[in-house]
Amino acid sequence: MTHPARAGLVVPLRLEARSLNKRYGAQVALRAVDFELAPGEAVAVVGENGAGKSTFSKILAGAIRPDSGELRLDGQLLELRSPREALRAGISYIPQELAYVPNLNVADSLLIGRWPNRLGFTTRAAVRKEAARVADEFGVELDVRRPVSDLRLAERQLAEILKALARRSKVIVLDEPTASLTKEETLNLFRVLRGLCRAGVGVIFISHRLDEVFEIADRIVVLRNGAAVADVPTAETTTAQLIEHMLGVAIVRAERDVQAETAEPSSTQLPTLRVIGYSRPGLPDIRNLNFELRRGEVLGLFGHRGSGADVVADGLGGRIGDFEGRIECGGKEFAPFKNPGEAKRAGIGYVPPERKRDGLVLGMSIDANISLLVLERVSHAGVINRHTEQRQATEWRNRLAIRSKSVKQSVESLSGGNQQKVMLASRLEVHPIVLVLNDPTRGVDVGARAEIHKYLKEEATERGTAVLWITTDAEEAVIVSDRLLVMRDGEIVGELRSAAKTQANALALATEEVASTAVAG
Amino acid sequence: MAGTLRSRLPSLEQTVINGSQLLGVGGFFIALLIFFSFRATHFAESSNVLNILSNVAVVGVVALGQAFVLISGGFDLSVSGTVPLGGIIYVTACNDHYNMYVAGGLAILAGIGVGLANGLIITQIKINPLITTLATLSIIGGLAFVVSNGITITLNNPNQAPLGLNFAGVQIAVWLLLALSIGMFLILRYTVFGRMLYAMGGNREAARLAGLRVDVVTTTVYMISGGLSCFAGVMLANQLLAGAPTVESAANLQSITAVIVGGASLTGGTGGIPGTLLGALVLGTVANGMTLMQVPTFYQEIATGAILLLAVGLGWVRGLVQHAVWKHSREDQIAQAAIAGVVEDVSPDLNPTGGG
Amino acid sequence: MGHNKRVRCGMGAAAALLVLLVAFAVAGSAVGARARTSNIPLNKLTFTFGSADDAIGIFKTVGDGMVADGKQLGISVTRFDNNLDGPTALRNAGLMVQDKPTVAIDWNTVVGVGNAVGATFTRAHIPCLAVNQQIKGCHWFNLSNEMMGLGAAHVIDPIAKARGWNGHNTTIVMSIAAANGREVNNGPRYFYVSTAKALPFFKQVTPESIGPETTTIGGTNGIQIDCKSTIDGAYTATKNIIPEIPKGNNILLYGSDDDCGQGSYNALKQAGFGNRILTGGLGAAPNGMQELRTDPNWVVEGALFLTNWAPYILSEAVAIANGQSTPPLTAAPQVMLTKQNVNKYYTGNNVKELPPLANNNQYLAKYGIIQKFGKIQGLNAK
Repeated sequence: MTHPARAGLVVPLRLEARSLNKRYGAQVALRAVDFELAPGEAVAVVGENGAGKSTFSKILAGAIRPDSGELRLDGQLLELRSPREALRAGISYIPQELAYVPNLNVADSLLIGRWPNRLGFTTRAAVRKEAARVADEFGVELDVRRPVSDLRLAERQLAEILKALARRSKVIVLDEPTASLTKEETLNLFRVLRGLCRAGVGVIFISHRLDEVFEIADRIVVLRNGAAVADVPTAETTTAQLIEHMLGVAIVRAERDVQAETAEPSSTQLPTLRVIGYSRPGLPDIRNLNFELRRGEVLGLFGHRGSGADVVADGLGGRIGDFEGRIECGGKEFAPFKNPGEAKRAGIGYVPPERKRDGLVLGMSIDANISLLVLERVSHAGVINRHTEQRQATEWRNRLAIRSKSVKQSVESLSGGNQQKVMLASRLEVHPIVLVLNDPTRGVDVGARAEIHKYLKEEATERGTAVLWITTDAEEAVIVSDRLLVMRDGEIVGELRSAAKTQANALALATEEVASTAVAG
Repeated sequence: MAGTLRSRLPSLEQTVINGSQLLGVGGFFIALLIFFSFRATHFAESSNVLNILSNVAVVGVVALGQAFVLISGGFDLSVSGTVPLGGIIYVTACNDHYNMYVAGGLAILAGIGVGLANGLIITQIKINPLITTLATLSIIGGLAFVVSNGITITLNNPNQAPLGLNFAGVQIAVWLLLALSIGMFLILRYTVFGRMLYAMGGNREAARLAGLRVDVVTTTVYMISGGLSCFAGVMLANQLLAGAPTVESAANLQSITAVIVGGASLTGGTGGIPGTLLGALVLGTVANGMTLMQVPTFYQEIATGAILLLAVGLGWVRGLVQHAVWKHSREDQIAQAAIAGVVEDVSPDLNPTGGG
Repeated sequence: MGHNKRVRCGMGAAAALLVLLVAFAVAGSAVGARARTSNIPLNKLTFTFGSADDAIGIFKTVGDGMVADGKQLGISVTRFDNNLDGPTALRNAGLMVQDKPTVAIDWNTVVGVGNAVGATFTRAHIPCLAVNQQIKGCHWFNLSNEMMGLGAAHVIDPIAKARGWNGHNTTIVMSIAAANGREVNNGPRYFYVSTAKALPFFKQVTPESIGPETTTIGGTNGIQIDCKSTIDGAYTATKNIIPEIPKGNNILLYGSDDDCGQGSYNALKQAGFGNRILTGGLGAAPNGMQELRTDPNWVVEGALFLTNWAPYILSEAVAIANGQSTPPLTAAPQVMLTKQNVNKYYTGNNVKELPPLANNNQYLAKYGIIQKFGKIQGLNAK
């Protein structure tokens, strides 16, 4: 019951998991995983997609139950049958896709639902006061009266943490918390987390960003294929070693600009999209990007949040209008787009990342959303032809396997994956020359993700659409792209093709540490 | 299964939720009619019905324009200024021996101009609609006062007021309201422009990213609202045989109330013409009934406010009903939705690489 | 769209309702105009009365009187409130004709809509009686504001003259309610015209040239402010123009009613003109009466016996109901009260006696109504 790493210091464990097993039919999601967390400790859990991180955190969050194994909190055995029980026990889970009730303010959102004895507070004023006090205590700078919907993502996260604190949680699990934060916000978050640790709260931190993991974690646990393959104090390891553990293979040294032998001869065809001298000061500074994209090609653009990849996508989509440089699209030359209409007219179909906020009108029906970009096509002299619209939507429904009762259903009631498909359909319906996808499978279940991958690949290979696929998921980047560009801090730091197009190389390029030469293994 | 964790509402429940507000108002209206037929003398007579209709005509036309604005996510408070302006321009022009169609055209043009100003300020200078239209209201209201010297200008030639006359027993102004309503209903429901209004009101950024010219459409709806309000002012001048700067100071509140009673939300994206007409009828009926019951005027103002609250309240009830249909408790819902991104990764039968 | 069903549902309901209403209306309006009756017995008469504004005290008393006195006489009087608003007056006119009264009596303060209101009555063939403000096509009962202004000047000017006040050392301040039309503001208007003639060095102008937009006459000879019919409106507007009055000047002040006069008077007193003002009031409101009795500066008060108008108005309406032709303007009782004669007509704030009938309202005595409700000089009170 004591932690081996803290030699000489006998401290009862805050959280202890022994031999957690979970399988789904033939697949094993977790394989006899042991885990320990001391009070006031920050442990990072890393691993590639499919390694079992999410299964692990779901178990902690009470959403699923392990097939076998036990979980103890401060020595007490836990049988978590629901998320509410986990919360009540003192484990707070802060997800990547933050859920919130839009119109509540921070303080009131503390009262959501029937928390056990309403935290002991009876009036809103009391809650607000307590929220403010807690915020103060942990150095969280947040005006607790503001409505949650007003908050930026970073602030929402802090609000979630506040909620956890107000519940007097003992363990806080954060899932990819820095994915959408700026450098500053990240530092602020870490500061808050350190404060929590000092106060004895245990922090479990799931992340892809190895450089950050080194900043905040005391210990790092690496999962691979469902097993915990490493558990080391941060001070005693390196990024390269972590990557090795994560992938289980030796990595070849990757030079800065990796050129692999190309299997196909370079095409004499003019590129469908050429981006020249694309730059924009900001967060981060995007400096002089140059790349090109061919007909029927899927070009991946991979970078962690903050690398600028999503900003480039926004720029090409016309959402951000102050880029400099030149764009050649479909043989014509353009100045950087000032608004979405210009991009659309140039032949670019832009799929924004946050579908509910930016890509769909939730109150409207499926077919109305699908026709939103092509209203001229489903109408005649300004009058909408509902049959055409419905037919169009039905075709897409079949093509993309959108699960809904009818195309007249409002988009609000669909699941995330289906909503994503509707948004995709609306963009594809324009028959763009270039499709710019900004994180198109975020928050989408695995089944829908596979369907989307398949369809978009077809879109490229069969219909010849040039696809620029921006993603923060290295595995996805490698799977979908023919060629992969890696961005970091506003620059393209490498292009990976054929054999060199691997997760390891992508990760290495994206996280500033060049993989070390490994002995054959 | 992934989808069941986030409730998917069967369409019957959805219809009930959506219809509950309109049914609530419709039911209220019928209750009003019954109440007033018993308590107010002459209420149910045909001449009184005509009275109500001709009273409602003016605010009704304003409400039509306001409906477009509210659905697209905006607000037009300046209508309380454009209505009297329209009347004054019309009467002044007629008294200066302009042809009455020309006079009417001038008034409508003035309204369109005000709307253009509103639209440009909102889209280019980016001041929010509430403040912008409040400011233009002061300016236009003041302008109306200046042009008329603060007094009501009589229409010298009563033959230039055809809209106040009857056709087939009903005032022409009422027929115009009907015609305009039908036209705007068709536009809203069946045209690209109407669809764009709902999209912009529902999610302006999504509409913008979809390439819709949101600025142009916004300016256009304000121009429509301004033009219609000035035309309503012309209608009123035809009824009053005069143009007055002080009339219809509550036109903005009443038109917004009518549209909201009819199902619109303050943020946009919902609402429609039939509901708006119903809302205007409710307001007009209450005013008429209360006058016939000899209730003091200030109670009528209280009633208008109460009706607005009722409409907003029905909207809130609708929200409650919606939440009640969600079967999970709030806590579990949030907790589950919170981890939905993670949980949705779990599909036992798909993706051989396993969950997360 | 997801709202299809609801839109259709609502549209159906509302459209049905609208069509129903319109059909009902069209059908019903085919009924012909009512036949006119002319009954002598009072209890067979029904009147409607549109009050100027029941939220304002002095106007409310007239309405109260109409209903109460009418009831005593056996005449049913249905009451409406015009709220000082044109469209409301028009709507009320429409509702009045629905009642099919013997006579419609209407006090509409918005001059401009007079034509429309009158047309409503004319179309319905209902005889109408306009109170205070003329309505086209109706009989007319009113005080003469002009006589008030002249009467006030008649009392004030000799006092001013004796003090040596003239156009070089005095300003005439007119406090008017611009939105209420010409007639209502005739008091201050004729006050200026008359005073400018009576005292030296004042710029003389015709009454027609003084309009609601007039701000000054002859530099600082005359200053006109818009009191907006309220005490605070008068106060604020006057305060704003005080800088334009030469500090040492005397003030001759007259307002279109006691609220306007009082508000302006207070502002001027506060600004230090207190011992150099001569003023009077119009309307015999309680504050005016108080000032008349106690304030040395307030030397005249135009009494129009508003509280006693009801019997006069009722009488004229009865006359109209009986088919009697009436003079173009039937005068309301009015007299200029001074400190000397006030107690002849008033005990405290209550009317003791009314002035004698003049030429154009003599005929009212015939119906015995006005005598019932007040002591009128020259008539036997009951």
